[in-house]
Amino acid sequence: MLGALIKKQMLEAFASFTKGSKQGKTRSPGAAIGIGLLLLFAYASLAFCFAMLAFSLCTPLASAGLGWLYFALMGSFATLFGVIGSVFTTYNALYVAKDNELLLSMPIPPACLLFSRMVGLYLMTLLFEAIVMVPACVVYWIFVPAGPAAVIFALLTVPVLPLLALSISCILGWLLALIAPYVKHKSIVTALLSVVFLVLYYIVAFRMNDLMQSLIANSEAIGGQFRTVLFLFYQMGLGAEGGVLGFLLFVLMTAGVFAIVYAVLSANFVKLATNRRGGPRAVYREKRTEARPQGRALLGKELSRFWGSSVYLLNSGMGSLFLIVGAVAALVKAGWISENITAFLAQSGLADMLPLLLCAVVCMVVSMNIVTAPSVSLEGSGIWLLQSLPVHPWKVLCAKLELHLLITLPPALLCTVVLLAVLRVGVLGAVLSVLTVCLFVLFCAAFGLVMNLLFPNLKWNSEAVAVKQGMSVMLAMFGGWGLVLLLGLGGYLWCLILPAAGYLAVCVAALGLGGGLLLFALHGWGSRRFAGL
Amino acid sequence: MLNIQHLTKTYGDKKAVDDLSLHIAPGEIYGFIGHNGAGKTTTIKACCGILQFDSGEILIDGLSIRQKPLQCKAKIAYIPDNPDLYEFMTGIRYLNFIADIFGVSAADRRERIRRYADLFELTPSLAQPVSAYSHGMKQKLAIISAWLHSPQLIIMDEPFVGLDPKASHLLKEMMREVCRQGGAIFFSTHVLEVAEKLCDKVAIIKSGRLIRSGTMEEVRGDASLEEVFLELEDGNAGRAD
Repeated sequence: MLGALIKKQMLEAFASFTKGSKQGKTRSPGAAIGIGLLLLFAYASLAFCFAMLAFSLCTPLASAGLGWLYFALMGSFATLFGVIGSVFTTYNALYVAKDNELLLSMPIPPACLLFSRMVGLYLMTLLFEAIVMVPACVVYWIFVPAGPAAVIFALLTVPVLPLLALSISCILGWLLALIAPYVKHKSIVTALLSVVFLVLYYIVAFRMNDLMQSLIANSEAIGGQFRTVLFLFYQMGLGAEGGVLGFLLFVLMTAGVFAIVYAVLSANFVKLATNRRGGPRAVYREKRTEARPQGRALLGKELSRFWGSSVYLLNSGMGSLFLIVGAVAALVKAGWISENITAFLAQSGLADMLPLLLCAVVCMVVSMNIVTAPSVSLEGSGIWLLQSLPVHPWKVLCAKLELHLLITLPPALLCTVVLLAVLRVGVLGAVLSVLTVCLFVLFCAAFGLVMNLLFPNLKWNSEAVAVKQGMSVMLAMFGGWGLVLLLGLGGYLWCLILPAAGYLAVCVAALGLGGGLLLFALHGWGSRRFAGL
Repeated sequence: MLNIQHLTKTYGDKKAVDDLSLHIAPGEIYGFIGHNGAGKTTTIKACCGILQFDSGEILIDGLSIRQKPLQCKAKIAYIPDNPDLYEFMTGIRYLNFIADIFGVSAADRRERIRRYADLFELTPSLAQPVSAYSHGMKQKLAIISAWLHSPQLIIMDEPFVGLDPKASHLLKEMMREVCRQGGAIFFSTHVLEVAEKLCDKVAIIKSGRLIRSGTMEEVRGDASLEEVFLELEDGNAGRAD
């Protein structure tokens, strides 16, 4: 039974990667290899960032005889990363999965069902934590001679540590499940909580240099704190350095925490998974309504879905928040930005590239918004509605494009205009920059939609599967980043021999042409494809 | 109103619907019965323009669903077997969305929403999100939304599933009212007693092929519809006019 449940979880998790369409055809080997390579690239990029962090911590701490503190710190980062990465998925997968009631109606012990779901979550958390811990171990072994015991224990730490993050995610998810029925605007509250998480994360990331200096300067005091308050990580550090007792204590404590959480959740799983109570229900009072044209009604529907789903909002619209924060930060730090960036480019002989650099930065953040990429998948089993209504599929697709533009374009323009003003870019450069950003936003919107029409996933039990795990989402995100890198690299080469303004004009033409072609494809092929899904 | 001519639809090697022809005239309630997997839903989806078919033709009020899909869809309303509605919307928002798509005026939609929501006792719940609705409430909402634009043809797949007895009775009355006003109803059902009492005509489909159709009297003769259906299902395919 447990095997069958775990198999079901795995099938669901990997369905969008292994199965192609609504008919459930298996993807071609080429597509599977492509997806694998993209995943590997994303994974390697993040692992490289954490390797840099490990590199800056390893030598100073190890040379001070605080190798255990190095592992304890990296273990703490890995746990934090694992929790941030998995807490909302844990909530969705454990407590609000669509098939909870179906499975609970079967002769399956709740503990067994919970365990099968936790296996999937454990693997996800392991992936998150390995991004931090594997580079941490490798960096340590390169710079510090380690005996066989240290290597074995450090390696064993990697699969054990995720149990702690999973336990924390389960508790946080449980709290969410307990309060969710009483919260009125769930998506907004969830989004706010996530933003708080992210803000904390970025504060740590932005202040990493200061923190590193502080950590190294106060390593003895911090080590003392770890020995007492974060005892588990202290033992983990000792174990990773080859201490048998430390390793055993770490494993016992982590497994103990997990066992307690699992036991408590098992005892309450049925109640939590079927908790549908809420506050007083809203009663309808007739209000004056106005008839809207089809286009506005469809856009209104897309907006309702976007604001009504915290998963969609957070995973597909976070770039807008960063653009607004970027614009405000640029205004606050206008003097510093103007002085340093202009000076840096002048010193490098790349002063002409200022508008291009500005566009690249804004476009990189813009490409974090992937609103259209899951928008077809999100129709799910309700796609029959749009297909049976007297509305042309092109109008439906237009509404999805408009949503992307509405969410992305205003903050992108705000950020661009503020940066242009702060950096005092000339009129021609400013006009070309604005056009480049606008057309890039349009291109990303159309590209994401094309990807989702090519790789739709209409069969999901949790919205998170459509929003986070679809191949279209991954392709749209990497496609956006790849395009920015391509434009940036092309610009650098161009500026070595020709004026930068000419390159931006080429970008405008290329993005306009590319966007136009994608829209043309969506109007014809895309409409037919949507109607036939 | 609905003219299905030699409809054929295959999934891979399997013929889901095989050379099916039916004619539903204005004022008729037409029942469509058959075992699970017989091809009822495939036929219904093809009539609604949701499913592309291999050959044949479907005409709605003289217009081809292939060539004029939007005009055809504007004349019909479709209720699927499983009401997967927009769960992120409230009931009233969903109804307004459907009314907007069909271009129903503000005054008409207000009057119709009030009338049908009151009939189905759904009015107080219209402010709640569809995700909070029970299956029966979603079915009622789907029915109200189908009636919002006063369609000429209503196509329903198992419409009585999930409805309480009062709502079922109401739906039957509403179906008769549509026909009295010159509209037509084409619906599938497994509840043969309902089909027998409600339908003017009935068609029985087996393995994608029409095995009998006509007025209720023609199809059942002196026996009950259940007896005829079971006899046909046992393999004695009879006539189809």
